[in-house]
Amino acid sequence: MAYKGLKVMDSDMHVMEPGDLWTRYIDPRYRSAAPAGPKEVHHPRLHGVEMPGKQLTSPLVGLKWFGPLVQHMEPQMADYTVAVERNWDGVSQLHAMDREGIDIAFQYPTKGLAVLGIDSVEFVGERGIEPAFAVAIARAYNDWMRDFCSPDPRRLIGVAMVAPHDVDAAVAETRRCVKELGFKGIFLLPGLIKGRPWHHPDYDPLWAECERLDIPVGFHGGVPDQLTDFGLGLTESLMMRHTFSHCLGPMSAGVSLCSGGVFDRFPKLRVGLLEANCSWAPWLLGRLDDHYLDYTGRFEIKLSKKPSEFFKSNCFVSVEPEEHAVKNFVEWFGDDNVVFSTDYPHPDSRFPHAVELFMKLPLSGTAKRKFLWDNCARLYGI
Amino acid sequence: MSYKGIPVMDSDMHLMEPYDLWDRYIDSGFKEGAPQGHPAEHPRLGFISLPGKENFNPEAINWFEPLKAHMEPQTTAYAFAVERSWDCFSQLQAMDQEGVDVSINYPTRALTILGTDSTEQIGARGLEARFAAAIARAYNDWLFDFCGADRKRLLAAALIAPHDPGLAAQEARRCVKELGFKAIFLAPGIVNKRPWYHPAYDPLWAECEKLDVPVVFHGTGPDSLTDFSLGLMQYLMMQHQFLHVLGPMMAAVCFCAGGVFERFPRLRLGLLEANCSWAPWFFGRLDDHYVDYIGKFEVKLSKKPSEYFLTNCYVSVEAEERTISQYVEWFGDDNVVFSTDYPHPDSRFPRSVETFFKLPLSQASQRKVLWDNCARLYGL
Repeated sequence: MAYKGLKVMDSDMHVMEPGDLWTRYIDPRYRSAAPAGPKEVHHPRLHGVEMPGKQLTSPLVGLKWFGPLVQHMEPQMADYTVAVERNWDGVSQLHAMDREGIDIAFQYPTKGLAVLGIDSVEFVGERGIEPAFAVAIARAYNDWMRDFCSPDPRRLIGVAMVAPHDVDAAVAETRRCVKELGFKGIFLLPGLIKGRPWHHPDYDPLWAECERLDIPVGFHGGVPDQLTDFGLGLTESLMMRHTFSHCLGPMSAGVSLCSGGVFDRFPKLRVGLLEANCSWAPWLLGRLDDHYLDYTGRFEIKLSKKPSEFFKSNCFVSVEPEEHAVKNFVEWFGDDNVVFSTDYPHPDSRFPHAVELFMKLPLSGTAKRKFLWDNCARLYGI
Repeated sequence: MSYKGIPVMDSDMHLMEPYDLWDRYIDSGFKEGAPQGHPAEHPRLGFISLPGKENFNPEAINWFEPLKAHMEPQTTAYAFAVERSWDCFSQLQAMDQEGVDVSINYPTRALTILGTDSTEQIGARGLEARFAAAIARAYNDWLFDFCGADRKRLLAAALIAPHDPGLAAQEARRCVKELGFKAIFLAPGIVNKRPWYHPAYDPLWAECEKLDVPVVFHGTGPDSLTDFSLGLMQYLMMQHQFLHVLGPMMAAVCFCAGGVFERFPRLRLGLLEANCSWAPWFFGRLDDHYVDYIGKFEVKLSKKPSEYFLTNCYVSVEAEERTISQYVEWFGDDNVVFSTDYPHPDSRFPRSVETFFKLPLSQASQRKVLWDNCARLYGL
């Protein structure tokens, strides 16, 4: 495929899961409680997902964002007709990749970004979910994903959903997805479960497994959920909320891992901070280094390197196609840590011109090649 | 004074309020339940809180030992102020040591004092609007007296309670017209579910625009409003990483992309002690979200958010913020101010100005950051 001779790997392409994914794939014990698409779909690209008896996320139709989103997507409708007709199946995914010039794409969820956005009953009582149920939700998604990728598993590569609500089960599911289903990574919502930051030792078995299997952990923000509010209380304006919410989650996971000792315990662990921009990194890691070296950090924890050094050796960030400030990142950190994504088929995607727009960024030819392929291959260990 | 002949204005110096401030200054009708002092053995670790409405996050206890260890080598540097109980003369002495000519003064122990939502929102645990206004008024009266030692060098920012915007506008007017204050200060956390672009706040912005004083947002501490620490309470290193920055950033979004500057084009906004080098990333993203994503369908602006940032906002550079070069390359050098942050634990006192001079800035930029921009922010 390629884009004008350049090989392209999409680090974080999205699927549009069918509304009945979980009712079809979940362990029958949980079928009646399983997440499902709402009965009425108001727009072919805005589906939503609900969980009986639980407040999962605000349904898009209820929010002020629905109208603006529909207006925004109006001019894009023709680009998605094939996918809508084929119900967003794996073949339509390949078709979209061909249009953009993408050779290989790692698959991330849409509904799946919402379904585990709810804390454990152990922490929040009845409005939470049982860890075993969370585990079943993840397993069902992964089983469906394997089938989704079957039209061409060399080009459509699965990334596993795991439930942090039960770390032991998450470890087992990680191993199953890599060894039996051929997946190449796991992803996590950045919102905290049971109040545990990502550097909490409870998560060590999961990092150990990922390090052992040589797969990355991808942190990816979602919709407004019941976990940490990365939208800072801004609910009315999607413009304002999305400016923060998609970035702050992966940024805070990055801070937690880079200065919380995780990379000292698991030096070969790779972490992707996805769909969250990259040009905040000089500011964020500069501040974090100072807080470690010259403020209280050095009395709170012992690290063998500065947080920014861990960032450079273990983390990958993603550039948005319109992110002209990317040059600030490269000036500070070089060009080995950035990956690319079309973000197809989300409303903020530049499909089918995402790669074309990316090529206009102020980057050297070498940097562009690395962002489009080499760095992503290294992130996913392929 | 000055620093080697260069005039210096500290945009955001801090005070250490006496523990009995509210006992002495609050209106008699509000004495019951007024803020109470909690002195600590360590002279910089005491705090003040509202009985029955304590919003002090218990996880903050984790930080006391690291903070004490961090402050240990600074003990001698602050001895003169401790001896004088942080009075106004010690403030001037601190300024002299740094080479600061003029300072605009902000709270320490009162940073979180209004960090509780209204009774309408959370019931008895909340702050009743007139009580909140009385707390602010007492602080401002004390601050007026404090600055009496030298009104040319010690300038003041008024503590304002957003719980009732009408009362807030009144207090802003009183502080500026009667007490000679140069700004209002708001904690960034959301009160009454109203983000800062909510039209209920228009009377307050109108008053500030009319009085030609800026609205300043400054991070506070763990309170019970918006959680800017993103749940990272275990280590102060991580909590402070985000808490101080996200509040002013959120305010920036509200003013620049929420239409506030459309309605009040001459209003100035200070986003203090929150770094500046996030701005190219942040406003690049916000502009894109307005122009090329859904923003243009949500609100009509006559300029891009980044253009409002340049015409109406001021950010502050931290003494060690080497990435400022990227900020200046993107936005120029007219919007950045400086602060020693004296006497907070993360201050570089008594070498804040000296540390600032090591930043990658031209001489012309240095002078602007140290004086001109701050004078413009505060309308001096």
